[in-house]
Amino acid sequence: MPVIGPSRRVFVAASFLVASAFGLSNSSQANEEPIRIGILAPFTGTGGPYGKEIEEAARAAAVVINDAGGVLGRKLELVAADDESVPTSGVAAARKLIDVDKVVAISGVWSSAVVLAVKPIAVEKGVALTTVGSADEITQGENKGLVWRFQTNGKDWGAAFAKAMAKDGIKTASIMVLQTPFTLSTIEPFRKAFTEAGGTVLDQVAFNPNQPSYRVEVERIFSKEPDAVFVAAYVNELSAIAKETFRSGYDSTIYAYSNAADSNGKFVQNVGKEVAEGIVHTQHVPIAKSTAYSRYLKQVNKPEGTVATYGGQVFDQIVMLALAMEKAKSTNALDFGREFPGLVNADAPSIGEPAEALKAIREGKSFRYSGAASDFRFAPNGDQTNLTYGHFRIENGVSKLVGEIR
Amino acid sequence: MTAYLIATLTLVAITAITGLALNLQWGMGGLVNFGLFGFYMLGAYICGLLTVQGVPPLASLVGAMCSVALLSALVSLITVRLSEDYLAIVTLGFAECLRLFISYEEWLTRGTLGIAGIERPFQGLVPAQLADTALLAFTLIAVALVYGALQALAFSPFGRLVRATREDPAVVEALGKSVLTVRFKVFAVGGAILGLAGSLHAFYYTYIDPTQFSPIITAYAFMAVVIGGRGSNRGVLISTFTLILVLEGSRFLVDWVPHLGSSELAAIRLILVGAGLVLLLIIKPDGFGKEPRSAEAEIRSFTST
Repeated sequence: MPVIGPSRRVFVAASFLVASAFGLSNSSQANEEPIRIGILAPFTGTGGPYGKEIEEAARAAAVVINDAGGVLGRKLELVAADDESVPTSGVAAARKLIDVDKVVAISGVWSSAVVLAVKPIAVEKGVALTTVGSADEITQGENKGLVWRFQTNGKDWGAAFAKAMAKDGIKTASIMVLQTPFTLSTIEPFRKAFTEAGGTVLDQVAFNPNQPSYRVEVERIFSKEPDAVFVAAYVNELSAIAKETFRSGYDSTIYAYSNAADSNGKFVQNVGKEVAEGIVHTQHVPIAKSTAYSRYLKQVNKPEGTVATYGGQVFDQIVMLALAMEKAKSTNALDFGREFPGLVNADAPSIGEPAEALKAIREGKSFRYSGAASDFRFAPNGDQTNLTYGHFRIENGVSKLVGEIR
Repeated sequence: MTAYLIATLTLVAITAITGLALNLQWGMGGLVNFGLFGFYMLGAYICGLLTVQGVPPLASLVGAMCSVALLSALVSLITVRLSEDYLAIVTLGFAECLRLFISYEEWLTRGTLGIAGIERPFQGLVPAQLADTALLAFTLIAVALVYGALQALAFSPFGRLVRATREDPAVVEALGKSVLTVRFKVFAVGGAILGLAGSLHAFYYTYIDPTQFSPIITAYAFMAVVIGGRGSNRGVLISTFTLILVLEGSRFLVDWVPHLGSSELAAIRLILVGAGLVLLLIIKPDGFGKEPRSAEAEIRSFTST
């Protein structure tokens, strides 16, 4: 048989060459100058709608830090990688970030499943892991002070929904929950708080990501006409469910996470103003004027009042990493990881501007960083505390703050 | 970089084992097993669950191989009435059911939270820095054993019988051989190998959850067999290496594309992977390897010389 094109041996040899060329050129570039931080984000897959917001926020924070002279006299450099919203790809990408790009920290990390898969490697290799994942298990176990959550945990968030419903006078509620570690972690706390406040949960149904239709689930839940339905899902599934409900003419109020019902207005774009009207969402957000959040919005050219929760959280991650390294005078995550609580829990004047905070550390002044996503504090296990939740209602395509929940 | 290469090679080896299993079932046996990822997942879960219960990792691995082999063989019984596309649909359905079972039966599988802290074989014996290297060595030994066993099988009379059932089951029946028995054995052996691959997956990640197991695993296995050349075990080894090289290499490629956001690059990377595979099939339409020659072909080549 005539051989068309390069022979097998040539092909294999060429493959090796290409591989080693990539490897070599990459490592020879890694000079000692910049401090590298990996951004592991979902640019494709279920989390796809959030990848860009996460990366932009990280880059914005890096620009702010670098403009303020960088960290320990060195620039921050971000290396982005796609986790495809899948743990196996996330691990492959994280290994590349750690072993090839030599990052000191991995930030972003949206999916709880990806965090849980990447965590053993980060802890083993002594790399800091800052995440926006909510599953309670993330901060459990021996984390060597490396794992920090820039997000409410599922438990508190679930309870916040019950409080929001109580305020709105909801008596009966049903639950639709996406089968993921994070979404599930909010359900039990919600049920508990809601029933304790005198409400009744009528029904609960779980569904899977990427279902072709949510018709059956919507029929089962909404036909019982509860006052409210807690839809614990992300923007893609929430959009499909909201449309389905609207078409069937049900009028139970939908309660959803703000990162689903208003992440930069994506939900309203997906379903239109009419369908989105009256949907309630909550998430911990900067209620009072936050210097850091304004700084973030300015840096990414978004108008004041935009709700970009993941963006704010990731902005905080990069700023906190920079502050921690500056304070610990080390780029070893095992050293600077432990600085996290001290930076936000100190009983000292609050600073929200990252540049000022860096200056304060260099001058040895005591202060605490007041975050963009909220004025959080850190518990020793890596969870954020002292969070205020915004209680929003979508009116005419815009999220309106109707109250706050503590 | 070395650590990264070690991790990636482990991935190549696990994918190779999966590919070899499919090469037996589909490549040689003509049984379209779209549910491959289900058996693989089952292997990972049985091994993971046993290990966290305190069963030694090697015993868990053997347990996983045996149970998956048994279940896989039972599934083969549906091939009495089904073949080709219909078998593909049923096996795919079976695997999806299995995934739903694992996602929802939290009392047994911890549901979507997954199983963390899976112990690797010989974990206590090797120093922590060499853990990945040790696992790679272990995985490579597994590949060698599977490859050796399947090569022996391919050249044995049973191997010819398997290929014959693929080409024309009716003729095999007419010769007095039971096609069902052959398929039963093929599914059992394939299942054991998939159980092994799944267990190695659990050891490699030390954490498993249902989202790690999707039809993409089946797709990779089919790609490996198609690119490798149906029926050729050696081809499968080369093609899995190429496949992971394309998948992982493209991560580096996008670092060198300027002026584009990461979202665009991520999408471009996946497009590149697809384009690379298409290109590969244009260059080598029959894949890298050839199936061991049938008796007929050998006689023909003998008489022509």
